[in-house]
Amino acid sequence: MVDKQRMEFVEFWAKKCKKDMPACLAETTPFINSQITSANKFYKKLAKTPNGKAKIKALKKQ
Amino acid sequence: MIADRQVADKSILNSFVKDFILVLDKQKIRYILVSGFVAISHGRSRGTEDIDLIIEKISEKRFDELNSALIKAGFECLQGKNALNLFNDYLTDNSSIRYVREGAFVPEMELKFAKDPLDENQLKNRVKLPLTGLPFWFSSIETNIAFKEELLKSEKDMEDARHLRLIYSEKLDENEINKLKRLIRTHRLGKSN
Repeated sequence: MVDKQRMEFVEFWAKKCKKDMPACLAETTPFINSQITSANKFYKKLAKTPNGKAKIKALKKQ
Repeated sequence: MIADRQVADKSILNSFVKDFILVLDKQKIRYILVSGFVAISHGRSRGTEDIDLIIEKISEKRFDELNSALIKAGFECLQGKNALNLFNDYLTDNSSIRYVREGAFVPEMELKFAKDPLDENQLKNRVKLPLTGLPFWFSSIETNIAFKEELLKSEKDMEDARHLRLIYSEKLDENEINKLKRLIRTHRLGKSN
């Protein structure tokens, strides 16, 4: 089931992107980059813990 | 535009895809990028850990060459190093394999073969999407919307579909979307229309 408020934001954001795609991408790119950078930092840390690599393998299988 | 290029160049996802696609292009392998990355390339405000890629069905020999070229380009496959195993245990079984940059964990390129007439049709009718500022081949917007609304249907997918519908509101071919949904019902959901 789709959350109404979330969809309202999706629609608001999509209309903004339609008006000015480069401006929207300029906002989302650092956000997505930071997610990826944080995820990699975390995985590297997890890999160094006991059974860390096995846990990562299990996570990746999902 | 210079501003577009600067944004595109700074994107970790785009850089990852660019380096991967470069290898496919050199190997002359037809591909399409589908699903989440399509929406994200149109400004959708969410992240992803993986990028979905469909390639034409190739021979074991060509896959071996592709795999070697990807390794040389600094990628590694999470399912293993042996191209024969990857080909026989995964790809020809219609399962995907995942590549990451060596030493990294995300993002992942989830690669699979075209597995049915629906996928082959997507490859045949692939498009470039100038609004993204990216030089890659994608499945059509109508195809992405049809899959998200008819097959995938998660909250995230419905939001992606809505985002794309609004971006392309005056250009969408609704007849095409409905036709694709019928094909999805037939080929993926086993329903007669």
